[in-house]
Amino acid sequence: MLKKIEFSTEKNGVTDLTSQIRQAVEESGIDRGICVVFITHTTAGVTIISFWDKLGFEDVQDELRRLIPTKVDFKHQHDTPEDAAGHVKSAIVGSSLSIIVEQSKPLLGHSQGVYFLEFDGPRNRECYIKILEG
Amino acid sequence: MERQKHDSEMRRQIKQAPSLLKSLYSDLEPKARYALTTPEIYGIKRIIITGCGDNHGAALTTGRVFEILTGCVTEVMHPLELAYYFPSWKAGTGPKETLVIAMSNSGKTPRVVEAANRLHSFGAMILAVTGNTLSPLAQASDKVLHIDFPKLNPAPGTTTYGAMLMACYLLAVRIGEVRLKYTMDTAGMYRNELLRLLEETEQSFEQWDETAFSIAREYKDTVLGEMIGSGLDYGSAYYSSAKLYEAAGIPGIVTNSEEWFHIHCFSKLINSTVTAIFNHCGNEAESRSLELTERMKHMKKEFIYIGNGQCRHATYSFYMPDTSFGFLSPFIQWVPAALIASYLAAIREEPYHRGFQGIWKEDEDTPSSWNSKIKGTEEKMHC
Repeated sequence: MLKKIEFSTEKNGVTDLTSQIRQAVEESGIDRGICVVFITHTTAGVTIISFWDKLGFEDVQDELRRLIPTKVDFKHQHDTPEDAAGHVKSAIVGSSLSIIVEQSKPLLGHSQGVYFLEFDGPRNRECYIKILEG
Repeated sequence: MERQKHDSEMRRQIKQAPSLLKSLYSDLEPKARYALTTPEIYGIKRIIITGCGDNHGAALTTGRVFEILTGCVTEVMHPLELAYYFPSWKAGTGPKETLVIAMSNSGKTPRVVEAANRLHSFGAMILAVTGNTLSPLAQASDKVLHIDFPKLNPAPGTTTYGAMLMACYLLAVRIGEVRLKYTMDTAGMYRNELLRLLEETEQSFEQWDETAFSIAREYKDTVLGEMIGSGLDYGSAYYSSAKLYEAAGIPGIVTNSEEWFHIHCFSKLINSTVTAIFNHCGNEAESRSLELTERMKHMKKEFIYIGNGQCRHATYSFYMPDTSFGFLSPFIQWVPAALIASYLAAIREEPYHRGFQGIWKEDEDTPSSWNSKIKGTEEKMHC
């Protein structure tokens, strides 16, 4: 089963995908397997973050910006400096996740949520969820 | 039938301009994208935009666009001002913090070359927008944005004007995009809108052409053109006045809606003047343009309206395509005015530039727009 989620982001925003992933797994009717979460963008990332304190999302984005600041001398100048930084952040964070499915639920820890990290924005974005039995 | 009889090279070029500009776009957009590096774009503190004749009109039209999109202080300056009166301290103290966008199709316009030389000596970065990469202007510049114009038959400039506007719009959109004034998606929307406006122009052409011919027939004996525009619309008025001179030999004054009340409304040539008001929806001084139309109605003065709103007092109206981005409106406003000039020329049997005959003959012994001594050299600049 393949499910597509579409959503809009804010500039450097963080979007929670957890509930939609849980719902997709449930709708698949698959008891045991793997859930692959994949985004089709090069200036965004998908990752797992603790959801208890929302300021933690800002910390993640702040630290990524500290490591990869938006600077004017990126070699990639086809688009904007922010776009060039976004490509590097996206490469580091990654564009997919694999989550174990057990008892028709994604096997996430009690603090774990799946989040889409926007490194550009505001943009219209999409995410694919594929659930494989096994 | 009668309209067809008054076809001309100028009119044919206006008609093909939208499709030619669409084909130029795919070449020009990447060139504008790479004309300046990201560090250069971030180093700009002020922009000066300059050109002679039609290109002065293009500068007047797009000067504010640069300011709106890039957030940089932008000045529209005539090359004569830059070449003779501009003090070095106004170019700033840092290298290349002033960007001069110098427009000349041939790249040989003497004052523009002079202005580029002078500002370059003051440490400004010169970006030539030209159809000639080997020209003196290109050589005097740090960067060249080459517009690959096709060879056209001699006629007053129309497509070249549209191409200069397009080049400037693309540069402004690019600088604003890189400076993160808006998102890449928004920049893409601005670029696509330029193409959409050209398509809409193609669709409206027949109707505009018919109206332009009716106006030219009615005003065939006119002695004066009065072109009125404010803010972003002033450049269209300037260009339209230039076409009346060039194509039809009719003097054309250019003014804004405020000055008209102070000076031009005292003219006794009420209806022997061809008067056009340019106003796009969202023009910040639109209220004054509305007052202007009220006053003209009171004076029983006929006028032409060129814009994307409604003007109930106008004798003739050219409705421009609507756009969500008002600053893009002037991109195509020049088309109806150029059509009127082309039909006036045809009906009055006026040859382009008076046929360069008699007192209008231009040779190497006659000072002209192209024949002028370049300051600092003993050489004359010749096209």
